[in-house]
Amino acid sequence: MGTPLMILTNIADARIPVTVLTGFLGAGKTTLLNRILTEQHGQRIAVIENEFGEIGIDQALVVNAEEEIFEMNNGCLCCTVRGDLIRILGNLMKRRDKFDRILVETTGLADPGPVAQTFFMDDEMKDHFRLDGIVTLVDCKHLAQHLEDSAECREQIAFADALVLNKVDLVDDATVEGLETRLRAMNGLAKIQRARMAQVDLAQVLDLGGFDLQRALDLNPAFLEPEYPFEWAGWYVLPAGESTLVLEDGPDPAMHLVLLSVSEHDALAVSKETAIRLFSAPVIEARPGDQLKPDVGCYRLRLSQPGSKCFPLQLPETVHTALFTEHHPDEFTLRVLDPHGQLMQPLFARAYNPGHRHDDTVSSVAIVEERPVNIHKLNLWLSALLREQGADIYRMKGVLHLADNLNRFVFQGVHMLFDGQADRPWRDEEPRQSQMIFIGRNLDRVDLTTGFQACLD
Amino acid sequence: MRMNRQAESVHIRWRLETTDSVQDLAWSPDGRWLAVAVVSGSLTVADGATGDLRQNWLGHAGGTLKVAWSRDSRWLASSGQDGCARVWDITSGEERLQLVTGNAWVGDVSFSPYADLLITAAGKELRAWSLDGQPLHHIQPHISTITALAWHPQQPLLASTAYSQVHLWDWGNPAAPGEQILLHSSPLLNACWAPNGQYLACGCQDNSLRCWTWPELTDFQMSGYASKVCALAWDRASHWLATGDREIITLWDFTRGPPTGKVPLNIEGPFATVRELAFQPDGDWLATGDQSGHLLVWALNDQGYRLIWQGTLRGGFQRLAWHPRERLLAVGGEDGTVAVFEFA
Repeated sequence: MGTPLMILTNIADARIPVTVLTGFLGAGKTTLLNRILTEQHGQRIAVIENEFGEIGIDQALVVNAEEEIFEMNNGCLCCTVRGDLIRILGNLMKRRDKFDRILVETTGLADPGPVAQTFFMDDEMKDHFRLDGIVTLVDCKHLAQHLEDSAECREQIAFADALVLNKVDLVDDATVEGLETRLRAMNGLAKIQRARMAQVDLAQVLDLGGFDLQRALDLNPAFLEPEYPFEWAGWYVLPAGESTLVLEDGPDPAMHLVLLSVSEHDALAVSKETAIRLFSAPVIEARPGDQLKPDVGCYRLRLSQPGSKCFPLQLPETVHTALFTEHHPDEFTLRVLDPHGQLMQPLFARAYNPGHRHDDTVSSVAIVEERPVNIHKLNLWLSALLREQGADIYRMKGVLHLADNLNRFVFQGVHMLFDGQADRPWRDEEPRQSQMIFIGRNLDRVDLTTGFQACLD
Repeated sequence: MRMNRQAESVHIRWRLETTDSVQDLAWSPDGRWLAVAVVSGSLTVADGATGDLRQNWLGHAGGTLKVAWSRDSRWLASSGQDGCARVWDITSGEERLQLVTGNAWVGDVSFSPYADLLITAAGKELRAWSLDGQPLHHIQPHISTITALAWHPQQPLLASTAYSQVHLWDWGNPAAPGEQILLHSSPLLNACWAPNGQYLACGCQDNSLRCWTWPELTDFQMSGYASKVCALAWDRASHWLATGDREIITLWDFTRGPPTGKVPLNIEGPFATVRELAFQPDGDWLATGDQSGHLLVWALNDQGYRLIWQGTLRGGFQRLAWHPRERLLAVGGEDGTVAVFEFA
């Protein structure tokens, strides 16, 4: 497909909002749909329903449709759209008694991609409708199982703008907490609500158009913190002579480790950056008894042999040394002994948010930047990024602070498609900053952040 | 550029207001009547010469989708969102038939030009009915919802399109229609036979145009469109296939065989995405209506093209249809306006 480009317009968005309801069979979609339809909100709603439920409300038009996925000739995943929606909405948009909102209910096993992409891919749909939000309902009792078994379930979570943890009454609080933490790690953007019988605050599932990274940060302050390839670092002053690293049996047969000589003033700030780079360099295999040296690269310590494993470290003089370990030292009872065999304590140590700890491959990356963005550079970067990684990037949302522009610029995307437009003017009291979030598979935070930084004016 | 027949003057012969956006327009084959279907359901038949209301029916609950005339101009068939096709008697005003398909939307309805046969397309299912309402055939399923029906201009051959397939139904023996499937790999939106019967053209969702020759069924594809190809029209000589996507009309030259290797003629002029294209049946005039409400009529000849008239529908444009013989252009608007322009 062609290069996606954002078009800068200043026209108020008069398009009809579309809310997409996803969730596995039994998660409570029909119950929520009925609630939305019966609530007194004064809106005229058209519902496009895919599973024959028991809906029949006077004030709304309910159209039963079968999901018809249209793949294009070029086989591009991101060009896949819903043919039935194009046909039905194409008809509805002509009516004089316009609808205030469209609700699309998907089948339980649906990949939300095609339904969302329909509103970016098809010009006619794009001109008349805007995707307001994807609401995913999950059944607390079965979510853990579904997350294990089903790629569709993980995608429904990843695509969501709002997540409803339904049926919380069927599980204990600790389970709900655990599920919420797990969902939050997968999708840092979505508003999460707990519900019984799909009783949710409708304001939290309709009108999701406003993008608010602050909300995501309030919920998860560590969200913006980068993920590191290491989990722990300690700063030691190692004397001249042969010190020793000793490790006991641990959970893994090997562990990566980087040793760096540092200045007395480092406190890990500078060496941390070097360590990040070294962790992605080719590893140096080290077996128990092998000599280690600072500043040579990333070691892969072989730890499969049972019992204590010693790695000597010969130094000609006293050296300030930073030790970065893939896992927390406690997991292997890692100790540093000085040349006299005495246990050494680090001058300073800290733990890091490790990238490898997420057991779900879906994650979120957020970027906040005060300096204004150059829209042309950003377009070029996003186009190249999405060409390569579009299949893995499920959602992308953002508010941009453009140079010499009084208005906020908002955009959102699905896979390789995105659109954006000028929004309201910045308010005096609000900080002018760009906020972006990516949700997807195998996202590289460092790459994304570096790429974005290059688009500043 | 040589002057073609010039429109000396254009005026509105008549106009009427319906209740909602115009969904479909159809002149009766004898040119006496204009049928208007409105998106929310009602059906109107007006005298083509004067605009006097002949019939006004409630149509289909939920909305009417399509209208079609019988070849003797006595019956008007309609299909809609109530799961039915209906047949109306233009003389008495009676609803003669109600054909229940059992599907939610009956997207298309069509009388055979060759026999007393009515075809409905509802969801994935094609049905054939006798003109007294008896179900003759129930053909299912297409792989997806049927998007278009098109009768061959000289033979009892019906093309139906669904997703990426064209089905060709040979109704030479109405008791046992023969079927042939032409495969394609992208979603087809419409179907249009060349008046000489030698080509079938389909616009595609993936910004391309697909054609087959008849009866050889060799296929060729034209791409490079900026958007999906929604509008198609052949001129009466089958020399030109006009297509519209965004603000450009692309004319493919079929003068001596398929247009492969020939540079298409691009007409820039529409102000927005082209919604409909139609050649005047006995002339070389091409009418277009676009999303911004602009109407343009071009004269075409071997040397090129020339704009001969421009108009605007303030309430937005939906459909247009040329009278089968006279230089009358019926236009339907988003605000329910129907106007017939006369080109003197």
